[in-house]
Amino acid sequence: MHFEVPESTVAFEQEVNALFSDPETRRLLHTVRSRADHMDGDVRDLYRHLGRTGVLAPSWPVPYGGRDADFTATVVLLEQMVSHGIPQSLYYISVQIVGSLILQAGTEEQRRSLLPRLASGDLTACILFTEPEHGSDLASVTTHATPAADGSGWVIEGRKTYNLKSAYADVALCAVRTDSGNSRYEGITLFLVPLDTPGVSVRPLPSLADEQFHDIRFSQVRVGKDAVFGSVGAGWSLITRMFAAERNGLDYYVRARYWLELAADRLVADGRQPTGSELAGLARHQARLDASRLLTCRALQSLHEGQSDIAQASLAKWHCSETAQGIAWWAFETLGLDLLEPEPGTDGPVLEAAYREAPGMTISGGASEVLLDIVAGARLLDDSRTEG
Amino acid sequence: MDLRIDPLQARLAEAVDTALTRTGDVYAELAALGVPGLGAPQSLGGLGLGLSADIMVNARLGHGLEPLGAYRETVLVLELLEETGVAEPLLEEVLKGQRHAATAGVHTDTGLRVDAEGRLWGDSEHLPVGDFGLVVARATAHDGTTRPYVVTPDPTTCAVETGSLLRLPTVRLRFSGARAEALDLPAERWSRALDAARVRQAAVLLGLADRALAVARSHVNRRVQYGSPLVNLQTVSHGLARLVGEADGWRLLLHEVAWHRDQGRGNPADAARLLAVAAEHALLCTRKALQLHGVRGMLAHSTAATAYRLASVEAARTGAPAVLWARATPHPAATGLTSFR
Repeated sequence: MHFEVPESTVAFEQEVNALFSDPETRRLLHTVRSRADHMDGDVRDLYRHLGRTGVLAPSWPVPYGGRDADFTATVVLLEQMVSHGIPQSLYYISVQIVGSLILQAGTEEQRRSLLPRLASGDLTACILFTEPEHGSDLASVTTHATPAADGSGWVIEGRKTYNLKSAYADVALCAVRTDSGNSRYEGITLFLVPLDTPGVSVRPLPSLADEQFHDIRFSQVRVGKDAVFGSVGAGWSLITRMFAAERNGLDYYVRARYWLELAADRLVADGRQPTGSELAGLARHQARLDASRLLTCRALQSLHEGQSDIAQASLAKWHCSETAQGIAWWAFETLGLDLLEPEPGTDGPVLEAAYREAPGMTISGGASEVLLDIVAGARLLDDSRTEG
Repeated sequence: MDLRIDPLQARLAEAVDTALTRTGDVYAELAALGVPGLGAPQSLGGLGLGLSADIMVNARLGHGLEPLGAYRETVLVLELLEETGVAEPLLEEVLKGQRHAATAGVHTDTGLRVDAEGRLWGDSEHLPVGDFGLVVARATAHDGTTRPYVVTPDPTTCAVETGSLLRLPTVRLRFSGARAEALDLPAERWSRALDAARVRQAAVLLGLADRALAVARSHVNRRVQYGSPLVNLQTVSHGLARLVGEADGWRLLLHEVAWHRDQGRGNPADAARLLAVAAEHALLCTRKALQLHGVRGMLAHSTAATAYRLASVEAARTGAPAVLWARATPHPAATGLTSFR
């Protein structure tokens, strides 16, 4: 093993640090935080500003809007986004999850038409898998599509819920049943559905955390044949491939890192003297955070080399989400109600928001119980592999 | 950055595994691989491959349930004495694996004292079994100052007493006026060598933990209860899967800390923190393996019981985890939470 980070990544970190600190970025960020829409705050103008400089998809090939950088550039990009207070969810879903799936499994036409727009911030995406009766059990989707009578495409009918950022997405990657054959895993098809298509309605659902959920209804939504992503009926294998991109833990690790940094600052704020047990708690969380970072990097390295490993990725997401959750809860247990006050130099109480967000971290994007099942299946059964 | 085991590391691990399967003197088998000189400084005649190589050896020793603590003590003494010119003929023997070296009172305060004539008195802590030809002892002089001394054990002034910890054999060195030569070590050398020792100890512990998990995994696949292998129960599989996940993270951290040390980088608290998590992880894994084995795990010589005893002793050998956490806590302003800088 070696842990040398390329010079190009160091330079890239300096570049994004400067970009995220520039006056226009700060102005646009201030606008987002004002939440003029009374929802999450629309971050798309900010993304377009950042995307113009080509920093948002550093690990993608140049023809698709990237820079051919290695995975460490993606890590520093996310670290810097979060530590500069730039909301990363819509970006992460659009570029790192949906975009990565298109890069892996899309047609060349889809890559050339969609990836540069995602990388520039001109196109945003959300994921519509979860339904009111089916959360972790994705193979049970009931939203269905039937061929249009005139042969022009498909008609989608159904409901998706508890999805993030749908109100700000231009297009949705949607899991839909196109054949109710014998196997639950067959007959699922992925569609890329423009969310301004007639028949799509998006309703916000306030959540415990700062980011709202959404309830999306499809009523006789007509889409063309080109809306199918992959092959008809082959959605399940694409969903599992997407999990390897989604579940690398990076977006959880970067939040954990920022929260621990803020909590460490609070331990000594205004001359406060931390106790030995507080310092030991800090060291414990720092060690686990370091391990989370390395597990994320391992999953990203595999992904970057085209070796999609769902068990390795699931393990990373499980680890990073539990690290982040543990830090948020430890910060509250250590700092008490002081935690609810805004941190100096931030627009709002970051650790207070983290505390509200924490319970959902081990639920969304793969519940811990599901992820542990995947790890157990891959690593504990007699015919499974071992590490070490 | 490349988070895969490199070919040299893989070959070393394989060679240690092979050495452990042979029936001869295990230290001699390891010496044939270049141990303990593998990671030792080239100035002492070692191979200078650094901690990145040494952790592979130690992790496999742990996995093989042969922690061989005298080997790590020997490497620590070699690093402490680098460029001191002290005991060079003995160092040569030690480097060849013909004799061992040990520290006394370095990992823990043992109350060793040196009188005005430069003679050492008192008992060492429990040491791993070895043929010790050289000792670095940390002792308090008659003027109240505490410093390291080099001692060449002589049967007339240093009795070797056998003992045990959790029924594992140990030795204690009983000094009764042994000639002690004061050692003038720069603080930087002292802390660097001790940090490297912590990294090697963490490697042994993570290897022990991996073995405990492997034994537990094998058992829960084989043992049928309620008509199904235990592994099919989520209470069983999730508990083990959690430890498997933690193990992956700590193993990567072990390699990172070792690599940074080899590059002359790293934060001062990294090694203590790594050892603290490795110690706790080894304790958790060996306890879990025993729990999953049920009563049969409690048999005196079951593999799970052996791993439990070994992990417990090795987890506390260089300081109890609670003590290690105290060493692993930098001031919050110095947490160094950046990933790549």
